[in-house]
Amino acid sequence: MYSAELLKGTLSTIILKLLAEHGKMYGYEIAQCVRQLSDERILIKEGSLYPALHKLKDDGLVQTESEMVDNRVRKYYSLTNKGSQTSTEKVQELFEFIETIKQILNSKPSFT
Amino acid sequence: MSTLTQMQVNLIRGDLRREGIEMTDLEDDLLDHICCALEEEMGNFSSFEQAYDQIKQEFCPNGYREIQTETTHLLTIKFNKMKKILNAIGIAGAAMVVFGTAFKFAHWPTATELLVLGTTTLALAYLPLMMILSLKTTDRPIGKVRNAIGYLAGSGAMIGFLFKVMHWPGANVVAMGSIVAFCVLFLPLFVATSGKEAILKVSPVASSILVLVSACGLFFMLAPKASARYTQSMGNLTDSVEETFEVNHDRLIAHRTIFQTLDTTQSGSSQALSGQAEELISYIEDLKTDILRQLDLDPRATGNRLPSDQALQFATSVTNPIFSEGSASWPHNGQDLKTKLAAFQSQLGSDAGSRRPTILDTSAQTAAEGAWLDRYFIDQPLFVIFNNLTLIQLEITNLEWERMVVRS
Repeated sequence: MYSAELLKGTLSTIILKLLAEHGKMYGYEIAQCVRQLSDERILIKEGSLYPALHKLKDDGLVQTESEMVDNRVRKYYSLTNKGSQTSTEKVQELFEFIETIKQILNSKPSFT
Repeated sequence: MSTLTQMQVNLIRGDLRREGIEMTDLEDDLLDHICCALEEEMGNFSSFEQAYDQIKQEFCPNGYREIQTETTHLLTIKFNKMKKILNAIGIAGAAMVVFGTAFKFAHWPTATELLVLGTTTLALAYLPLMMILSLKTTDRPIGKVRNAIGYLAGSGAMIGFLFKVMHWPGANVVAMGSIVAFCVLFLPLFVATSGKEAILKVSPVASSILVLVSACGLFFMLAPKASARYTQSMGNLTDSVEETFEVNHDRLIAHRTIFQTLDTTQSGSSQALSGQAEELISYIEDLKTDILRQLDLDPRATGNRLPSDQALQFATSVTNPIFSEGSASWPHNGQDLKTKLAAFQSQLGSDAGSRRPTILDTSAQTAAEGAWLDRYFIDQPLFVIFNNLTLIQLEITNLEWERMVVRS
């Protein structure tokens, strides 16, 4: 399992990417999806998932629709138009970032 | 996989609320999430309670409240930008007030503009926006009321300060009302409802702005003030000078016809001279009207005189673009007056013979006081400018008197 610190900056991008692929998802579904896709190496806690979702909603990137399921309200999250656009950009940005990090970590220091 | 009963769902909801989850949206999310997890994992546990404890521990070891805190934090981050903009507005406003105060004491131009603009920025933009921000980020109603009173009272005090500095009516009512509201309403509420550290939470920028503006207010309070008797005597002096000129002028007009018939040269130049004198006198009268209008005074109401009860105020203020040499766009400038006065004197001729006061010597240039314009008009207090204009008018009538007496 990776540290929460590593996950922090990438969580909203992961959420946007998942919503772009699956259409609408509810919170638990997102957490489970990440868990499966990462071979159980990334476990998103409620403590980081929901603040991130609410922030995305506040920024107008995702929207919600509520449904009654087994005595409780289930909120499905989906991308807004703005969200779809941002999703592509953020995924691209993250890929580039990973490449850059790789470059830094792979570099061999030379002291000539 | 099993489905939770209504009772079990309610139990979890109760737990969420007990732990301080107040955002309905977040409550729905968390409830659904925990229920989903429970439904999936229930089979591995012997009881609902055991499963719930385990799941709660797993997903949220530090309690639910932490999730709400984190959410609120993320949702209010956007106000940081607003806070930065607000700080910039506040700093700009405070800077204008500080410079305005300094300029005012140094009798430099644009002091008034800076003070009005700075105070208005703080009272009508900075403080109201700060109030809106504080209302958005404060949860409790009593806190909202407290902050609103505080900011509005601050705004009022600022407007009162502006009115006081500008000598506008109603200054005392506004300033006193705001200060009383601040002390009687805000301070007790502040002490009663804010925590011990509340005072430390006021941002350094906001408190600096408050301290700077208060310091400017103190400066104005400490400014030397003349006694009522001194003010009165200055007013009397202006009135006397004006009256002397008017009486002399009236007397001159009454005797002009007699003198013109007595003119031994009979060249008609007496009429021409009188015409020029009248022209110059009325030109100066227009200058006075301009000055009064600039001070937002009604020249007709004051008889085209500087109101004697405000003489002291004008004895210290220098706000006159009228006599700045560079103002070519202004219909009257000092250079015009100088040229006209010199032309009148040369028309008069040099044979008049008698000694003339230095105020008429437009070509005079002294090392200590500079050229004629500088000495009598440019950067002089309005009170001085006004009295010098009247003195020149008086001297013009005297010169015409003298010339007529010589010729008859």
